[in-house]
Amino acid sequence: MNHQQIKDLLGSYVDGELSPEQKQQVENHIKQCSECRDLLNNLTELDQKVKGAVLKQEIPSDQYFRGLRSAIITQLPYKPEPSWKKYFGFLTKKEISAVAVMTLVLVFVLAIRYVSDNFFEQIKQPQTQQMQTPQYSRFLPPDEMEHSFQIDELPGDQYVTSTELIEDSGLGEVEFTADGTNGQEESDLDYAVTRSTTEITGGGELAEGVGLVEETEAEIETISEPTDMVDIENRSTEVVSGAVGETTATLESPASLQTQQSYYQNAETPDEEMTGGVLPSQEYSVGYGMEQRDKLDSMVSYNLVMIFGDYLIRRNNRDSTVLNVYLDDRGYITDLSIEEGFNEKKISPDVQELLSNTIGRRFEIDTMQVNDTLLKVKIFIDQ
Amino acid sequence: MGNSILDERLKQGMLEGELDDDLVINDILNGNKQQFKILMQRYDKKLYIHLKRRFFFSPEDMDDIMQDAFIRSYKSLRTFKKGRSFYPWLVKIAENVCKDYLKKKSNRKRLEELYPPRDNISERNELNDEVIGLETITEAIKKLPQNQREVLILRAEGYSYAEISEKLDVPQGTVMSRLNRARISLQEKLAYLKMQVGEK
Repeated sequence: MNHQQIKDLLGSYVDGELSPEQKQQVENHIKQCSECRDLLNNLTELDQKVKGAVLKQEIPSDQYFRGLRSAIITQLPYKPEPSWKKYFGFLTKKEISAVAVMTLVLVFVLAIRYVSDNFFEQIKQPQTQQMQTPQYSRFLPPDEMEHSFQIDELPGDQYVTSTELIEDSGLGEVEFTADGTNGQEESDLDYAVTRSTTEITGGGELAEGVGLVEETEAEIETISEPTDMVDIENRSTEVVSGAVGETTATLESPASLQTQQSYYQNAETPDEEMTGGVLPSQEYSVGYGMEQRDKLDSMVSYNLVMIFGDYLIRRNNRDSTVLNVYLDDRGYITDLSIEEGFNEKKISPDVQELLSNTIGRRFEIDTMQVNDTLLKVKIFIDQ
Repeated sequence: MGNSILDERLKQGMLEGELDDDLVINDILNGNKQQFKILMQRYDKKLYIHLKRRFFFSPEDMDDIMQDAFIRSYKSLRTFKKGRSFYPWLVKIAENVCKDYLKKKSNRKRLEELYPPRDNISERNELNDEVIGLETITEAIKKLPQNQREVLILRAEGYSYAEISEKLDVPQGTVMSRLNRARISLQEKLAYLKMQVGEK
């Protein structure tokens, strides 16, 4: 064996992987060749270093792993790979979706105190001051909502129900078409629903001041004298929203009341005596937010909790920002943008960074709700 | 999900350790999320060591990676083919997490290179022989090509050439040559680093 061949065997010599003859040859060679001797020394030293570096890594204690496991468990979704196809499945039809960009409006809910149990308790109380000027009623001006919400593109059947509601109550038909021609109406719907919930939020605080139910009723009746009726009849979507959130408008039609009652059959039935059997109390609209557990519903009614990986973002509607989420045909986020007219500064830098990291991730609406008025939106990290 | 097969078996006196992974996975897929803890319990330490030795992440990074790896594997649990062993599958996912992580990091690094922090130079002056010890060797190992690094680490973990060749499904000759190349380039890198520090 020549010098080069021996040199190539030195590594294996250090590893003790040579046959006895090879080993003998190497040892013989080393005695004569100082270069190989140095090399061998170097290799032995290197081997020790590598072993040291690889094996002497700090391994945390069992306690660490226990903590890690609990941390992970809390972050796991309810089931492995919850199928987004359930909600977005129709998008996989390539002819529809290849080009189609889905725009969703996600409205962040700010200030955790409004989302707390306390808040939850408050909105359960009868709403009385709804007729008073709500503090934050101008949550989303309709003109700013244009384009931002494509109702028909959203999964779920809530809209079907809405349409049925309109038909049943004879208040006119609204078509939610894909071409966005009804964008304004859609925005109105979104706006109104949002607004109603806003009022509920504000309402809870004020409700405490208004003790008597009779007072409430009187108040409602006074204000509900159909001053708005013309307007409402002209804009059917608003009627829907009225039915949903603004209590007064649709009441004159018993049929519509009926519809509402069946529509919200899960909602707390209002006390007949309190409402006089005619006025659906505010509880209906509360019921809308609370009892209609449909994901979409919650989305329309604005209360969203966004979960990005480990992060939980809650925002109150007062400072809400409309976020457009663009998805590709597989439900992955391709782009995010702040709706024009909404101040970008409201999103803190860390959240902004978070958002930019969500591009390429999977978007999904989760069925679980943090509490009854909240919806979780999850953005998944896997491919 | 109170009355799962798993619970029954546990009631029958089987220990968690005796249940095979498939059964546990089945249970998880049926909605018994908590059972994922069993899988984690079985493999988290092993996985941690495996990743730490291969990628030399800091404990903080490892924290993120372990969480990501388990969460990712949980989410894609439906893609796991039953009857195969779970750990190699988990390792594959975890290694992908690590690679993604490195990619993300290198992106950030590139930014830092474009806009280097000012005190970078003074920090370098503080490099001394001690730092060269473990730090540089790990840095040098990290920079090796994946296939060479793999062999080197397995070797350091004490596997024989035959075992490594079986594990990686490559001929023994390849194992040997990769090891040789890894060692040569390590030596070169270390020599270069030493020279650099010597100059300062």
